[in-house]
Amino acid sequence: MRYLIFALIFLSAPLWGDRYGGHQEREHREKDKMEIHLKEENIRDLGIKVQRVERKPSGKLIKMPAEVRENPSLTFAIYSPAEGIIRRLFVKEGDLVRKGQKLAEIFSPEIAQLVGEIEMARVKTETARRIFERDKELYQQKVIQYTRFFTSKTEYERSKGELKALMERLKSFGEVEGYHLVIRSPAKGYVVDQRVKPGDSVGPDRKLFEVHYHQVLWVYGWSGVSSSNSIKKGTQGKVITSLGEVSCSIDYIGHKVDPKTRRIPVRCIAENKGHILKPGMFVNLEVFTGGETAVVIPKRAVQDIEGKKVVFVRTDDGFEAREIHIEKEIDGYVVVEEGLKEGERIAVSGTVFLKTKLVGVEEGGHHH
Amino acid sequence: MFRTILRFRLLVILALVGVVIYGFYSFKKLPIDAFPDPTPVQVNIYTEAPGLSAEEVETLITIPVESVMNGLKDVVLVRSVSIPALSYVSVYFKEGTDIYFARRLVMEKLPDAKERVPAGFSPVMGPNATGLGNALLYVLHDTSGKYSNKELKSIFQQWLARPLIMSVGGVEEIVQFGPELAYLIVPDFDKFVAYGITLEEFLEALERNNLLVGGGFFQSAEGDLVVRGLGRVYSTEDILRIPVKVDEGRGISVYVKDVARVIEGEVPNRRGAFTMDGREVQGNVVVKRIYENTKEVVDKVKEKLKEIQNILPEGVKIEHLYDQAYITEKAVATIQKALFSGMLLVAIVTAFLLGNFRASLIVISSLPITLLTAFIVMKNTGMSGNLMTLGGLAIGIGMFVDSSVVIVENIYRHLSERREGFKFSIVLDSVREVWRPVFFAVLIIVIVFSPIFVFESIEGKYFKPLAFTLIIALLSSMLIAFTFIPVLSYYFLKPGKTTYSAVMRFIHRVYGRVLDASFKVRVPLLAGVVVAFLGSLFLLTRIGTEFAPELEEGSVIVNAFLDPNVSIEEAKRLAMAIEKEALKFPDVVRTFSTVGRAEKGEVVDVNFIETWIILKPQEEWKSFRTREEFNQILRERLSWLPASIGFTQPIKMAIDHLLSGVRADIAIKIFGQDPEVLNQIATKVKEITEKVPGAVDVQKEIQAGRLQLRVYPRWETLERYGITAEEVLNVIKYALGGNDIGVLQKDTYLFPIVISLPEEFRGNVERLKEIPIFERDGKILTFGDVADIKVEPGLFVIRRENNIRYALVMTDVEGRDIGSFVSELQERIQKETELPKGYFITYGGQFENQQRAMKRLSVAVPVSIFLIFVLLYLSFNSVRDALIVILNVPFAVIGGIVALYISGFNLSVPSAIGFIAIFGIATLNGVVLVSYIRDLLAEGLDIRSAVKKASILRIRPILITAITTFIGLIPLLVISDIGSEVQKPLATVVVGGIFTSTLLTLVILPSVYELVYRRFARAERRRE
Repeated sequence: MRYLIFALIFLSAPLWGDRYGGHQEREHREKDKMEIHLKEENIRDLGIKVQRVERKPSGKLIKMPAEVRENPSLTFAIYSPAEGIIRRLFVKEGDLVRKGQKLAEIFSPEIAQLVGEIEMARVKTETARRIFERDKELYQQKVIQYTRFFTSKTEYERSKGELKALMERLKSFGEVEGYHLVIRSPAKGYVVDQRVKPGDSVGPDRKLFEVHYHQVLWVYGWSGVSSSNSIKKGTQGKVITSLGEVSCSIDYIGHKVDPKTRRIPVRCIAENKGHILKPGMFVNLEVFTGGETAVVIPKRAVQDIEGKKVVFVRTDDGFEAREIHIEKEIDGYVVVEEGLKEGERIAVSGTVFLKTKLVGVEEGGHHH
Repeated sequence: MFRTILRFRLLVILALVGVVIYGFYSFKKLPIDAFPDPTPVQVNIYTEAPGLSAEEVETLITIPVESVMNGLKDVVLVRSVSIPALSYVSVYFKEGTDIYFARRLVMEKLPDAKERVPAGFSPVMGPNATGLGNALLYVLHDTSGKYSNKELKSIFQQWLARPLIMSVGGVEEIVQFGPELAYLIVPDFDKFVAYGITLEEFLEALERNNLLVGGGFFQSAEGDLVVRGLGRVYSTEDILRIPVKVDEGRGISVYVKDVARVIEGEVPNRRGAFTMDGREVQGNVVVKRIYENTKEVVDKVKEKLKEIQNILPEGVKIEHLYDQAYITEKAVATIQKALFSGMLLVAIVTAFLLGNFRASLIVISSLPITLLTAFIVMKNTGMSGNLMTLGGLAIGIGMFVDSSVVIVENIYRHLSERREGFKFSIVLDSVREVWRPVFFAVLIIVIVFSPIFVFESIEGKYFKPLAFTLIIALLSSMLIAFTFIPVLSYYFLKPGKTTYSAVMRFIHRVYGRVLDASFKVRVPLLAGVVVAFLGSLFLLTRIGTEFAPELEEGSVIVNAFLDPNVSIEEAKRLAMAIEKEALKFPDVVRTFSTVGRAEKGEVVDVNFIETWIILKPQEEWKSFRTREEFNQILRERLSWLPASIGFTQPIKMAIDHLLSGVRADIAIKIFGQDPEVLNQIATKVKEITEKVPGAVDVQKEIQAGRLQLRVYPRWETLERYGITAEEVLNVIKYALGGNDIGVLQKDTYLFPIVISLPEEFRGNVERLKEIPIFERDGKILTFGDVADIKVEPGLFVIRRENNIRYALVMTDVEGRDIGSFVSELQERIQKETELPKGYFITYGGQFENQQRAMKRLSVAVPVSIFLIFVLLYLSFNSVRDALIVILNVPFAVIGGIVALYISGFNLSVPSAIGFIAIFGIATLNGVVLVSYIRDLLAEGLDIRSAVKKASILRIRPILITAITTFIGLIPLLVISDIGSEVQKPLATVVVGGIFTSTLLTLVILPSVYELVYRRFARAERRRE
């Protein structure tokens, strides 16, 4: 029975003569170890994807968390220069104001007192002037002695000085209308951070509002120590928010590690187009450190075979394993120093299978 | 005694009816199985160790567990496998140890073992099942496109199908493949930095905010209210709302939603998958409990599957793929077919040779009664009807009529000769005349088969039941011949006109002439026999050896090993590619694969694929004729695969695995300590093995080359900030290891909540280093601060046996017998490799059983033959006559050997049992003839006439015995259905052996007897 079966198998051997072809193929493979023969269908079955090799900037995209902050030189805090009570507010938080626009009127007892004092000083000066003029005439007519004339002259001068001093003082409080202080915006911008309402008692130690011009903001990012090195002053960055993106320009890279985050602060100055950025926002900062143009391929295309870095280049009937030299590795990509040309097609997934075809299963990844 | 039987004949008839009814009942209730389960008494201990590498698993878990288990009572072997994240220790107990006792011993030691392994890992006992426990495979798949595999597994399988199937008696465990639904928290580490949050705080917040507390009772006006603290999360929104930290500097609270995403996904780090006909499905393996009957369990589970289908939503299909009962049914049906057709053939032949219808009817009726009696015994001794037990009945079918034939023939002859006597006394006298020889004959057969009982291990588990049922049936046939048959003969037998039928008379005539001729050419004839014997011995050396022929299971398994670093996605693709290739054959019904392991599955990683190919029934095959041919073609077609593949069959694989711990015919184990050295030797061994003719699918187990992400804690930093390594590893456990951080409750279902790293962090060491983990002294410490992270190749699997590491080379053998292959292999390896001190090689596989069985037989068979000789001597009181009968034995094997050689079967345990059977039959034939010659000599006949007369008178019983045995085996030879493979070599040997043994008994023995007798007579005369 068995014999019959064997005989049948033997006789049918030519029908599946493929078997011997297989042997030849194996021998061939051994001769030329770097060739891998695979049919198109098999490549598809194994999920091996092929990609064209391209030259592109070998830079690296660094992503970091960041916070939007106001530019301190463009922020104006508004205080009342004198103690007082707010009589009227002309703006509210969020209003856009022009430079010099009236913001508030503050009644200040100090100003009122000053105005009173000025009135008094004016009267006093007038009186002193009259006395001086009369004494001057009398002295010219030699009615009185020089001493008396000199005294009234001094008195007049002093009164005048006192008045002037008071006037100067009033002036120092800015614009005053009657007994009221008038607060005007020092710059164009938005009223933010309103802290007061009419009737509030205010003074130089209490902020009324801030006026901030948000057209330019600072974005502080925290970069990992390793990647901070490749960020240069002037590099363009991108601020990613949930509202959209804004470009920015790096102008400062921290000199020390922030102990709280263990990262390096990086400042990027952003033109706040469309007012997307709001100070205090947590955003992401992306910085692309442009590098030289080079052959950049995904890291998973590279296999380690006996200590050599190998990629698999598509040929007509399969793949050719080729050793490459890697210049550097960046975030899932490698920059190829030599071994690959632009336009060649390499396997970028399922490469572990190609490696197995080359070295067999058992020695997988084993260094000798 | 016989008088009593005949006197109470009516009672005997009633007893007969009782036996028939009870026998039939026993037959119907007899549990059915494919095989006697050869599993040794073994208890497995699993320890899941997520995040540990193979080396760590070995030192931290496997070795402590082994050392505890080594000391247990009756432990004979401790085997272990350590792979990344899993330790597996098998403890083998002495044969015959009660499994529940063994499990209890292990159980008692488990706490001890747990104490010795690092906290957090707990060794557990594996399911109480055997290596053949994978009784049934089923899948859940969706045809509506509404449900993903995750949902199929986590909802329908886990919470619906599983509990129902587990409730089926005899189901020990369900091993489930497929992705598991989980809620994944994907942290945004940039946000962590921005809010100043560390992973430690984050994990703590998650752990602390998902609790359920019972608070006893609260007495109120409404009555006693049950107090429940419901801190559990019920939805992704609940998770998102968990507060992580209050940032006092900024005056804000940070919630999970601020720093992470929560998505519905699958538990990460899955190590297994199940594919079917080219797509992934949710697959399950039902494991049956030890000692349970496969067929019963499978039938009940199949019933349950139907019930479950009814409650599953539309579009979700639960489908049964494979079960072991299928082969059981097939095999048992085959054997039954052989049994019944054998019975029929024997009946026809008996009728023909006896030449009397009534006589043959009575003889034939003894057969079913014998079988039914055997079934009664089998059922009451807890044996199952399987290939071996039923096979024992099938091969003995011809022998079971012998006793009855002798009794009936004698009664018939006496009735025909003494017509005038009382029937009662004629029957009684006839029975009394022959009961001794009949008893003697049965005794001889029993003794001849007794060496099989010295078998141990697998061969014992397989062939002892065969010998047992055979002997039981033989004894019952004798009992029946002594009780029922005389009674039946008394009632139904009538004297015939002539004692001999026409056929018989013709035979007598021819035989007389042959006998005369044989005396004339005695010397050349004897020389010829000796030459034939020597020739057959030479042939024997040309016959290969193996343990037992392979069972044709109707399905093929392709094992594929891939590079240890493949991802599960890649492995799935490869599995589907194999399936696709197999499905191109129209003869393939379906294919499915298991990739890697399920939760409680085997000790393999995703780089191991088992593809099952279910074939149509053999008659419908078109593309190939044999399974081997199919393997050959498929092997060629799969040669492009980037994998190392092997072919086997489901049950064969399980048995191979039981024997040697591997899934191939032969396992070559290289023992030693240094993995590097082991690897080198293994490579060398593999090369040598490949060169040995007959080796196919040689595989060296991958031991190294698994890339690992190793985390080395920076002790100085840890010390400086007062962080313990445990704290670091705890974070790794959750962040990288994928441990559950909590559960999410949906309805009554619980789903794990797991941390999953964002895409860009996976496999990116630089990014991993930036993850903020701890905050100490107002400073944030990143992963890179507290540990060095490196990607390095490490060990993949570490195997140990009796506390020594070993490397493994496996091979299958095709187109050659395993026995000769192994001896050549051993020789070559010994010659071509030089082992350093402390290193050694062992060989394992089914051939071990063959060698062990043959060794046992080489002692036991001569002993049994000597016993028979003693018996003969006691009975004949003559060394000469006893020797002549025994001398008949070696010559009988000539036919067996020739038949084996021609048929191409190997010398296996079944064929050895065939030879044993021939010994028995040859002895019997000799006894029948020699005892009659002695009787005639005692009556005073001269030697020549005594020999002649005895031969002619005894040819009928001898022929009937031979032909019935022969004919009874014919069905086993011709049937080629599943299950007939095992008994075929046995039947072949017996058929061949009976032919020569009968021929020699009839033609040579008379001459030899005369020759020897004359020599002795002359010597005596001279002495006088």
